[in-house]
Amino acid sequence: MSTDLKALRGALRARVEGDTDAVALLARIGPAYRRRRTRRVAGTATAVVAVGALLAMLLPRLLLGSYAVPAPPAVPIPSPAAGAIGSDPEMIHFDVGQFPYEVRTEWAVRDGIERLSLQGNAANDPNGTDKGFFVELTLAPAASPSPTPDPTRLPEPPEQLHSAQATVGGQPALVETGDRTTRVTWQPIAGVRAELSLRGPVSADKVVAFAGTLSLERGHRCAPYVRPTVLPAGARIAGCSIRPATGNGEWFIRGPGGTISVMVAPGVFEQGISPGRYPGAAPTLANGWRYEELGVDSNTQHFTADIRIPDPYVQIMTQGAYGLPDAVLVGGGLDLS
Amino acid sequence: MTFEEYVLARGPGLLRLARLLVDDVHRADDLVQDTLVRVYPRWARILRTDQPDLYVRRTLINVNASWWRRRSSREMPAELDADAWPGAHDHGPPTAERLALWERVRALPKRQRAVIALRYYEDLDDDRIAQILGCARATVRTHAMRALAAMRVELHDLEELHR
Repeated sequence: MSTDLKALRGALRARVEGDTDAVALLARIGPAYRRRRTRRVAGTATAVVAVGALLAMLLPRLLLGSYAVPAPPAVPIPSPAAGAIGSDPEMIHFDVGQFPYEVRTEWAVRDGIERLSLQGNAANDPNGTDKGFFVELTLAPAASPSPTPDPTRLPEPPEQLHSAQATVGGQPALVETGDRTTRVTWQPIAGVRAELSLRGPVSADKVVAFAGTLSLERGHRCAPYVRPTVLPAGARIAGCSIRPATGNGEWFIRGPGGTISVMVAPGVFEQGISPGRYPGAAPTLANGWRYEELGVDSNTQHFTADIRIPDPYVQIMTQGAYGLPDAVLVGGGLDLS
Repeated sequence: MTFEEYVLARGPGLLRLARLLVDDVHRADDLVQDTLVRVYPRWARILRTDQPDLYVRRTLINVNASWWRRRSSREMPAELDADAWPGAHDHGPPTAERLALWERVRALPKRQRAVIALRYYEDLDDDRIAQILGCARATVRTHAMRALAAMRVELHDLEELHR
């Protein structure tokens, strides 16, 4: 069926018939404008927050090509001194800048050597087959002997290293590189020896650049939240370590009888005391905390005693001439710090 | 002219035009309200162009074109029980021919529907419509011819082709 323009005009006019209340329209515009403005402000604020968060995550990577290294809260060191390095078993006297990849860390001080261990994966390194890497940065007084190699470390095939000179933080440095190994050695200040070693698919120039971020003007407290206050006669706290990502930490006690390790984990050991382990109540430490004695027959670390406190979650291991009475003594003196 | 004076004078005309662009009177009210809310903060600048009608109508048509993207957040009308055909009660029952013709208008693409409304209800010439739509005069004519063909409207007057 066809029609003509007159009919079309008629249909359009009929369609628009009806009340058109301009006053009511005007009255609605004010509140609608305010609602729209509120929505826009809220939307803009949300967008700004979202973009800010995104930039905070990506900016270090985009601009600096690196990630923050997890660490305990930093404390300023106004006057860095060589004599301070390794002198306090509860204090790490250095800090670092950012690393090219995301890492997990452990900060430690033990027997006069301060150490930062990093572990990560160079997932965006196209040349790497095994992309995992391990980094260790140690600081020690220059006069002290080199750290004793860890006897429990897996043997590695001998590797031909190439040596080169470089500058790190304005100081001369020796850079030794191998197939998957880089080691940088330098003295950030007179009397302090720094060694940064990396195993994995990370280029030497990145390792040297990371070495250059070392700062002795900031440090970190090593303070797991449970602290030993009672030690066997003649023993002392010789070291401490902490993992910022998990909150795990360890105290290392050395004395005439050998060594005692106090491992601290956040929270409680959910399984508690093993059911049926003790016919009556589990034994109690001097501080009132219950503990369970664990077997040491099958361990490879030559532990002489091993006890577990479920709440707070602490495990104490002794070596050498130290044994269960010493573990119980140290456990009874543990204090929430 | 203040914004309030403009709304009081031109609001009814905008509401009528909106009723030709959307399918029910409530959505037409919303469309005009939404358009004026957008225009309000820029009113001083719009007045300086000396063509507030042109700007407001262009905004009306653009807001209508973008509505499909944000139906969930649009302003809801205060009354929802009125008839979708505004003239149905006030001026007697529409003829079957008018209803059928309106259904053909509804079936048009948005742009063609706007051209039909501006050309045959507002009686604007193609130059003015082209200014409102922001397109060439020839494009307006093409839209109009295609819309009329789709609605099977016979043109007895050849001047219609050359408005």
